[in-house]
Amino acid sequence: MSETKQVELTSKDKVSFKVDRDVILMSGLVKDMLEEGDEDETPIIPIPNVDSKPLQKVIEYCQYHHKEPAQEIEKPLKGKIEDVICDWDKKFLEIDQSLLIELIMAANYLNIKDLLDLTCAKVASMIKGKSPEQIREMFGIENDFTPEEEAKIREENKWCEEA
Amino acid sequence: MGQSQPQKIAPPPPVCSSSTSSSSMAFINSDRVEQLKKSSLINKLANPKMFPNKIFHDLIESKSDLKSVEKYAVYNYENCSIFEKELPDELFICILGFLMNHELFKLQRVSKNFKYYWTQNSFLWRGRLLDDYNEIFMYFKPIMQSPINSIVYYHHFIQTILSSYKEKSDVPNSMICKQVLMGNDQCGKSELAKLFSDSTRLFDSKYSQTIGVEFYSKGYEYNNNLHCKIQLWDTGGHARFQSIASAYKRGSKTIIYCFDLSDEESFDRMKELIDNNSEKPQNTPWNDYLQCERSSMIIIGLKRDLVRKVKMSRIENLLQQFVPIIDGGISLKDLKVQYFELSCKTDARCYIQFPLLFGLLMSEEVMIEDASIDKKVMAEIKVY
Repeated sequence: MSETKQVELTSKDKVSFKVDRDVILMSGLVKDMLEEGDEDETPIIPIPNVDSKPLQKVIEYCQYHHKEPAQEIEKPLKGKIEDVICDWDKKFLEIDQSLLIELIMAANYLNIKDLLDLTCAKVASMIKGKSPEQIREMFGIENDFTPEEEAKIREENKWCEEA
Repeated sequence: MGQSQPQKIAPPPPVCSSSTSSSSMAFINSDRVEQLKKSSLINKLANPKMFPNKIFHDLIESKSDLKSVEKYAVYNYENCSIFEKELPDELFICILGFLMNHELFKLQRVSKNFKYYWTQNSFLWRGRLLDDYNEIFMYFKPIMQSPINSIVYYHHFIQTILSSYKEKSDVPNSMICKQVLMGNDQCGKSELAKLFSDSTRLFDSKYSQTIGVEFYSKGYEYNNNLHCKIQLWDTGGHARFQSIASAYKRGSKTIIYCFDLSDEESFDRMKELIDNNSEKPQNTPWNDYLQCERSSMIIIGLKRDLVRKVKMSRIENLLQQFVPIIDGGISLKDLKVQYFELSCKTDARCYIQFPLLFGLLMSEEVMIEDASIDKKVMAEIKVY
């Protein structure tokens, strides 16, 4: 068997991950760094902005999608995200809000567009189809409008409520 | 109390009660007309102020104006979600980018941060709306308070007009909007008329001369249950048909003058045509004259897919004479002249028929007034 070249990523909390070079080339950031450097046996790349937990998820994502590129997600999203992504992605997104946020930041930092789109669209999809009251509840925020202000906005935006 | 149904006292019958009720003119009352006018599409669109394209364009393109609001001035850090708190702004905007327009507007009711900060972000709107606004070229455009509101509103404006008039094959006793197509031969009038009337037709560049006049018609339903019909008279552009053509202008709600953008002579001929066929007093601007005449004018520059020969400045010059606009703009209700540029070959079908729908919009009040003296039509109109 021919040896596959590997890369070692070190997370913010100093956990190391050995990943196939082909897999992690999905990251624009890593790709640029590998191109700059010499061909070491196993180059070590520090990822100082990302914790091990989201990094682990990112690597999982790359391992699956480097051979199976994700379908581009329409923008804006007409329906729910579940209608347009594969089963693997659906399972992948079964995570809590804080990890989702960390993943968005990791995808942005590591420059993996498909993952960034997937995670951002997931949040958008959580907002979709909810009433302002439900969105406040989900986000844990207060209604800071007076009833008069709210009525006025409702009137101004009549056209979009009907849509 | 109420076991027995108290008999309501019937209103006194109309004076001419011997005849059938539908023939009674008393039913066509002015309240009904007022009610119809109130629920008109122009009022639904909030009768915006219209401005020449150049002013709209300058406003949208003035990047300094379109910059996003200053966060520190409007943002309340005490009342934000974990997403807003943790993510940099551009990533939260990236999330919002996946929402549709109406979903974004709905967010304005969630909290002040959404209303005054997030949904006012220019990056959010730029891409999605600026592309659209170039697809249809309409000269007089609505302007709202801020650049972002203007873009969003313009989008809404076009979409509302397109979606309000629903094609309907059977519209008995409908209000009629007679439109007449005028312009020199070979500028593309007939192709426009045919594409308008037959939604399955494909663009055909082959020229065939229109002899005399051809007639097309299409019914629409709008405002829930109002029926109207565009009767489109396509007049032969050749000089020898001009006298017949001008006879057809009588009673028309909208005259549509066409010319070929790739042919300067065509533009000159159209100008002549407008001048020759008018009883308009010399010093009265067209917009004022049309308003008195309860009529409207649409000018269409056709074949915009070809190399342009008629300079925009010439067209602007003409439009400035036709519609004198003071600083505050002109309200949609008062605007009686509009200009479009189209390509029957490359534009989407909905944009091709847009100018004719705009003609309907400009004729709306007049159609209602005319209908009010036609009892058959009024009988069809249910006021809710």
